[in-house]
Amino acid sequence: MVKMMNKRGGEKLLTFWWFAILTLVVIGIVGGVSLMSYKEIDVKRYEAETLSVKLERCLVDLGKLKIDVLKNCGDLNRECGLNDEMFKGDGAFFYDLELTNSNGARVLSCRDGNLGLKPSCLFDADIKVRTNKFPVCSERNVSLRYYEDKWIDGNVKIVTGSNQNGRVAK
Amino acid sequence: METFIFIVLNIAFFVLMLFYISNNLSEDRLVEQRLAKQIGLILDNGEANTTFFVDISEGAKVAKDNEYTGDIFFLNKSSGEIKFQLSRKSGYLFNYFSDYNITYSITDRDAQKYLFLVLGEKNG
Repeated sequence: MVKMMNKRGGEKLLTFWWFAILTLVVIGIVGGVSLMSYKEIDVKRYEAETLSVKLERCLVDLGKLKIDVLKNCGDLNRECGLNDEMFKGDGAFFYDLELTNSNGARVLSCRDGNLGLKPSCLFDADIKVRTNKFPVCSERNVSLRYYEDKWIDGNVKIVTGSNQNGRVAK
Repeated sequence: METFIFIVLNIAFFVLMLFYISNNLSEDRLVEQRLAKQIGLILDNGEANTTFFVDISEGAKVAKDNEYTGDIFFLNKSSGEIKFQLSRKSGYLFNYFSDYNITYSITDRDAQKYLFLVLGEKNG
């Protein structure tokens, strides 16, 4: 027969396991709260589209290419009302413009910004990929005419991208 | 005695947790972020010589609730940066890529707060 002498169960309250459970609760609450409170509104797609439209408006007028603007690539940001600072170094934006003739041969090109983003571009069809790490890009082809001694049919491919998430200022 | 310490520690723990949750689950940051991105996209989309009235009453209300009386909107033209700050703690920064000569002011109209943005000519 087992004698239950001096056995008073449940009295030891401040045990290692109590602290362990509290630690787990803290981890759970902090994790949950930080997930809930940090919702990122993703506008990269709209920024890429806006940049693309802005460049098209700047370069094309009534179906005709302002070829001098494209030729003067180093001055394109100023001509098109873009802030040079945003296209320096490892920035969040880039654009890549390419003029081809009716045979598809490249005539001119101009690019600026963080072109390292281009290989990891997500386009409209890929947007279901839920991540804010990848840049979102836009690609549009504009059929037009350009003047080089005579009017020639051509196409400008405008690829733009944004990887801007915004940030909390301390 | 151990029971007393146990109860006090439990109460302290839950009070601290509730304080942490109420402090961090506020919508302040979301409103700051939404307004900063909204203004950023307006500035990027805008054309030269355009004026915009943006209703920022929601942000002004959050700032008032937080008893924050400082400036809620900042714009740095050279770095292309805008910031909304609705509390003493922090703010939200967002860049815009257009390069216009921008002037702004915050005005009250019909008990609403508006950000009045004027996009002038291109810089450079």
